[in-house]
Amino acid sequence: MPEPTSNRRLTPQKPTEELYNLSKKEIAAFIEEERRHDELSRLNEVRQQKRVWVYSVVFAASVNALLICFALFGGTS
Amino acid sequence: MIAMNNAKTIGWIEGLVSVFIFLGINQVVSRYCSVVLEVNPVVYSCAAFSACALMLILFSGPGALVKETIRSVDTWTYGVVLMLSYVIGMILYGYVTSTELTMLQKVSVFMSFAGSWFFLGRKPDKYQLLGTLVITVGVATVAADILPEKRGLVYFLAVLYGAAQAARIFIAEIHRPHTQASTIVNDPRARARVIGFVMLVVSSMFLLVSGLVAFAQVGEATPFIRGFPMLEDFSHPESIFAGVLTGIFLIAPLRVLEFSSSQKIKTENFITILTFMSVSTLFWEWATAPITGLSIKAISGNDLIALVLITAGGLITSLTRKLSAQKSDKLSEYLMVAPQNLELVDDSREIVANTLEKFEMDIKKSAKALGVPKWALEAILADGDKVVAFKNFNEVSRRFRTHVSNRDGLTGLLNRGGFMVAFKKALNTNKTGAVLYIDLDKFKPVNDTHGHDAGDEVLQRVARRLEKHLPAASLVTRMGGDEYCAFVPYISSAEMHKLKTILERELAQPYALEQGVNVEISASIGTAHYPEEGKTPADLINSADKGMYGVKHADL
Repeated sequence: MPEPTSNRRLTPQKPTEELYNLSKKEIAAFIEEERRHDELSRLNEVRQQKRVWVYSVVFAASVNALLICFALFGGTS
Repeated sequence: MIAMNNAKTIGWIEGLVSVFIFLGINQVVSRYCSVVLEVNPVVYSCAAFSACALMLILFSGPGALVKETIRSVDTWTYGVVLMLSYVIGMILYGYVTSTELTMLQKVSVFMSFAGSWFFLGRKPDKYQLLGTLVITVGVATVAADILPEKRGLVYFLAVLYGAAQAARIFIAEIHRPHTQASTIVNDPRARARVIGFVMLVVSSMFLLVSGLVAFAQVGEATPFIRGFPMLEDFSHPESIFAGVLTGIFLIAPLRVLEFSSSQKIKTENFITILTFMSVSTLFWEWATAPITGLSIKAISGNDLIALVLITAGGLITSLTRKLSAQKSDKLSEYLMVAPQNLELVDDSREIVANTLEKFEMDIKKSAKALGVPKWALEAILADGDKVVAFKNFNEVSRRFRTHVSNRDGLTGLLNRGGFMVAFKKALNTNKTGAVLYIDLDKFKPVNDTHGHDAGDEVLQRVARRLEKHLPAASLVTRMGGDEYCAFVPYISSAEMHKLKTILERELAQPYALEQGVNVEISASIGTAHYPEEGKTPADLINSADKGMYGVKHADL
């Protein structure tokens, strides 16, 4: 293999197994674990987005309700 | 394609409805609330914002950019400026008509124009300059028409209003969730979500702060912070009900339609529709006058002139923006920004450099050879950051191979390498053919007497004459200097000799050069017939070359 140089074209990429000193099986297991981890993070993010949305709707509705109560109070007094 | 056209039509309809119906009515309703219902500007705005926020959040549903919006400091700045411009607008309605206000707020065009030029260094083009000038003259015409006793306050508020609007545009540019929603995600729901949260955050903050100030002002006859509501204003039914209803039925649909339309027909087209907002407001102000009881007598002839000027100026700037967006779209058809793929960038730049070198820096010829527009090459040359590459690199690279690296830069004919490759291929597919080796006579004196430019022109003219008189399927090359070679497929020996005579006659015709002189040269042509006089390209060329020498020496 030629000596690494600053020119990426002259420095061929090492095979993944050689680069990380792992077997193909171990690499596949690692990729699968990472994929699951990513999916879980995404799921948690979606759950969190939904929770924030519900809280925001409740909060915005409460602000509006409060204002309307004030208006009704002002209208009757 | 049909679905895309339908989406565009819907986008235009949404844009027209939002500007010509919701925006116009909203301007009239706001003035009605301010003048007739005497709403408190802050309470009314907060009620409108919180109701609109609820609608936008419900419409957008859960999704991305919520956390980013709430956590961004720019959200607060953007929201405060948005709310301030709304409140100032509400105060201004007490002094001017809705139509006048929509025109006065265009002072923001001048402010954002001047701001982006002086502070951000964005030099406008002549059309933007002209459009802004026309709008400014229109705004000045409206301003000059304000009653003298109100002028001071109205001018002050109008400038403040314009500054808030201009600031809002600048902050929107740096507000990351806002930019992300409109450019990267390009989803109207994402934009509605971001703006919904901005409105919720800012209306809650304004309600809290103004409520605290109102508590502090209890017992005071007049508010010690001018403009802030008194405690009783928070229970003013008209301020709250009118605000909530405006938020739900006017502002929220207006924003949703705006986002949806901008996504379908692009923002620059929506901005073009938006230039008619003063016309829309004038119509609704006139149409609803019998119901609202608000006089439109204040709208004078000068105001109508201003209306025309402001709309025309708006059209000039928005159409120019549209053209520049189209140009950038066209650019993206051929080029891409690829900072992550530096090899592609390097290769693209190398192709451009080599092509220009080949065509002696003639950018037009280079672009034609690569099959791309001239401005695509100019964009790569002007790319100081070295991140721009050809989008369709494979096609450009193929054109480079066939039209540049295999070609003779001076004559445009195949060069020796390109000819030999094509010649070998042709021999495999053709059973007969002829090679003609052409050497120009009396060419050196042309160079010596009239200069190298004249010599180059003669070489180009010879190439054109050869292309003209040789059959279309022929391969022609300049072997170097004043020597040419051609392979003519499917030609008999008799036809070959006939062709040789024609070429000798045609090449001996005088050449009228650009520098105004006529030169006369002749050509010695040697021939070799395939397959009798050679079976390989080298044999055939050698044989024709020898024939050419024979002719030349016989002439001497």
